[in-house]
Amino acid sequence: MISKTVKYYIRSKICTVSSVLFFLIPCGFAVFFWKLGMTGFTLLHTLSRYNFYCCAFLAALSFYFISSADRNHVKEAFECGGKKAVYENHALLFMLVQVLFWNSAMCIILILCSMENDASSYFISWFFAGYLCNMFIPQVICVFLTYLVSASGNPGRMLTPEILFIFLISPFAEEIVWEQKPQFPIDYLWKKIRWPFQILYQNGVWSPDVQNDLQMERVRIYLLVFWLLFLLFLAASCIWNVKPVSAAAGIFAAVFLVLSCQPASVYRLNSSWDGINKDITDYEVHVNDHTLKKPDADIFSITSYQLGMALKNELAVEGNLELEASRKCRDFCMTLYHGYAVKELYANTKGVTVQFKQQNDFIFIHADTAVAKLSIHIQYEGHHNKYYANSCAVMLPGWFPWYPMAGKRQVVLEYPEYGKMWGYSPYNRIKKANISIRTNQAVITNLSDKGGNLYEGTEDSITVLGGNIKKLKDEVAADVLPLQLYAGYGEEEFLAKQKEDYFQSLEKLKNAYGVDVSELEHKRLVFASKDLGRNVTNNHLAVFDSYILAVPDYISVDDFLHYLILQDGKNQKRREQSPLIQMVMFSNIDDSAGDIVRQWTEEIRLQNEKPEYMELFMEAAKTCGSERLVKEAVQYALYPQKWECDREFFEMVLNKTEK
Amino acid sequence: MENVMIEINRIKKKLGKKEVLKGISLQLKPSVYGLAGANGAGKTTLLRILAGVMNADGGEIVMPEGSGQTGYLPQKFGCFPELTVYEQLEYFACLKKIPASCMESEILRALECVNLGGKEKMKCRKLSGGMVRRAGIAQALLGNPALLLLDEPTVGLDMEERKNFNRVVREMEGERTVLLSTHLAEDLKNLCQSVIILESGEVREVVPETYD
Ligand SMILES: Nc1ncnc2c1ncn2[C@@H]1O[C@H](COP(=O)(O)OP(=O)(O)OP(=O)(O)O)[C@@H](O)[C@H]1O
Ligand SMILES: [Mg+2]
Repeated sequence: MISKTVKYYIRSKICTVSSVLFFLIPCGFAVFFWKLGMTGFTLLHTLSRYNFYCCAFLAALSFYFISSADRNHVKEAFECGGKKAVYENHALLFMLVQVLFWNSAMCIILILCSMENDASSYFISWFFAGYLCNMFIPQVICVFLTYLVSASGNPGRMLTPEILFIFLISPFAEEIVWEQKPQFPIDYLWKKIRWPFQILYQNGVWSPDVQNDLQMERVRIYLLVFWLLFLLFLAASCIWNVKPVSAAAGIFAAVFLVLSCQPASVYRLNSSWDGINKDITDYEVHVNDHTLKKPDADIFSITSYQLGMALKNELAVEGNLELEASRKCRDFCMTLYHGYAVKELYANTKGVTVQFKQQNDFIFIHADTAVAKLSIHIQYEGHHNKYYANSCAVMLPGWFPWYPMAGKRQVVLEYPEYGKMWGYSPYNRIKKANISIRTNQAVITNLSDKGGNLYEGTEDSITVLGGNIKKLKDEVAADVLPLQLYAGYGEEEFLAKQKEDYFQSLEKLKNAYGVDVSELEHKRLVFASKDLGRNVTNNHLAVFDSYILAVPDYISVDDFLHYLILQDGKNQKRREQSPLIQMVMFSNIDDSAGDIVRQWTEEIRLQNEKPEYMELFMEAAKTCGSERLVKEAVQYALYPQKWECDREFFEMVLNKTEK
Repeated sequence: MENVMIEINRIKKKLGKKEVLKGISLQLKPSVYGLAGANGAGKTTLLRILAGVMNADGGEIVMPEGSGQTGYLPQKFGCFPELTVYEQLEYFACLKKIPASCMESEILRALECVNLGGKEKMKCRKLSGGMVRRAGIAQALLGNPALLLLDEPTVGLDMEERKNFNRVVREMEGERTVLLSTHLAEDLKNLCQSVIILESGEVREVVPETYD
């Protein structure tokens, strides 16, 4: 019987031509990209990005094929004798078989591509679940939905909701965002409406995060299960008339929909006001000036952290903190990012009761008696939309207040040096404390691994990383992101390159620019994906007491220099006003001195500086040579307070040379 | 009442807000029944329910066990334009579970009955309206069903074909239960041994064989 349905499919030119195109075009592109040298991950990501078009095409083809019995008035005669939707059932089966073949072909291409272009077999052992959720299941959902529409008895009318569905899952619907917060919360409404339709990979504004994943968070999986069950429910109740199946599927579908709506840390940044720009929007409301200021943590410090971390839909932390003040006091203020809601906070110290208030990024604790030492129990949960933490992946840099930090800290910084650009502050540290964290899954941290997911150490920060990240047995580098490696750039090459970058950068900083690098030397390198930074140059690297948290391939002279320059918040005004420092900030300091000076000359011309400025600059360059000029300029950018203005700096350079 | 083949008890059907069938009860023997009534009387609805393509809201249909299959020609019938007449009938034959061994002869016989012999290789898209109708009758005849439900079978047939159809139905007289809806007095007179008249969802009258 199904053979007759297949025969009809083959006889129909539209169907066969569509099938051939459906197989040839995507597979052809996949093979083309494979041969171009794409890694398995990049190819899978590319496929996931364009899967909407496959889904839409499949829906159109399925509609044409599955509804053709109805369209041609064969349906009623076919169904004589109570064989309800007999043609549609067979047509669905055949479409699903095609989808299965198509996806098998794609998987084979992916595997071959990975074998040829990847440096490890990590992708092959990892990709299948991501493939299912981003490619196969959304296609099955679209075909199944089309089946329901076609077998509904009125495909013409039911086509409208299907088109609406296709639109809602599309990138076009994804692109509807509000860059400014609207008066009426229409964006909130739209978000709620669209959430159940996010069955495909959400493109967002960036390339995928090799550490995170292809959006495989639990809530997304619940959503996919919801659709499968919901469609099964519709089919069982409206078409197949199997009451027990329909009841069970209906109940479970509802459960999974509810589960999928739980608060969760999902990494989907878009250009909406509460997407990539959420923090700066929040801070614009609360604070006027967010240039770097010294934290007021002198009154007390947190000497011990004993935290239990549960990574589920979002981050949940529970544990004890020991607060120690230099003198007895009643009020303590800690910083914790406002996305984490404190559920519970009480004093462990006998005879002391505390009250607390969470306001913006701060927790204000008030004790009923003045104490110098206070032990508190704290429980909080929540998420940040960029620094994700869920059961799939974690990106919690030590400088981000995802754990309580003593005193008032800034989460977001403004960089006048870059012309009002903003970014997260990589300069938050805690006073060295005894830290012990226990997690519900293995993670990579700056603490030492005690086994059984227990991590301990005396450190100035807590960095927790997880996801597609692999621990390394190496003295310098702590980990590697295996999805980033490609043929010719395997673990060994990765290690060699990062170490070389690290050592050479320090050497150049020291020898060529006279920078004191003692604070940067002899550190362990902890790597996180590029998504650690991405919004402003200096987030790619942060130097802690015992380690450097960095993005692979971003350990450079420039990154170190920017990190060092910007950690000084006192002289921001000076730098902002100096054209020369601006040029230092925006040029590639790793270039040769001659090139840099040439770039600067051009820049001065473009900026229409006064003729005297150009003359001074030219004279300085000529007299002391490019190399010395650049070296002095770097020192000037680091310590601008030494000179009144650029003119004074140039004069100093000239005087020094003449002497 | 021995040879009662099919018993319809208080069949009810509501479509939208309208009660289309308001409790239809009938007893059908192996004979040819005409189903008459104004447009919208509920003929098609009744035939659909009997054919099993639509569920009734209430009532029951009793068919003796092993009474064989049902042949059904819907009021609106078409074919897949891309298939040949033979392939289209083959499709139906498969659905009716006609064994592969006698499938070909059965299809050719059915086509012969409606004067489509020799047209089996023709693509359905090239069939005229009347030919499609005849192909529809042929598919209903496949497998010698014990109950034949024909919804306005003669619509679109020319004089010659109508005569042929009359002959085919006559040949079945007494062997099978045939229920055919029609608006033509001529059909009722020539074909049917009994006439059931529906009016707004109710049986108004069953005119027995004495009708002439
Ligand atoms: N899907 C439907 N939804 C609502 N009402 C319907 C539907 N199908 C049919 N009806 C109504 O049911 C009634 C009976 O329709 P039916 O097709 O059975 O009439 P009929 O006797 O076969 O008429 P005709 O002689 O025109 O073929 C009509 O009034 C029609 O409007
Ligand atoms: Mg009718």
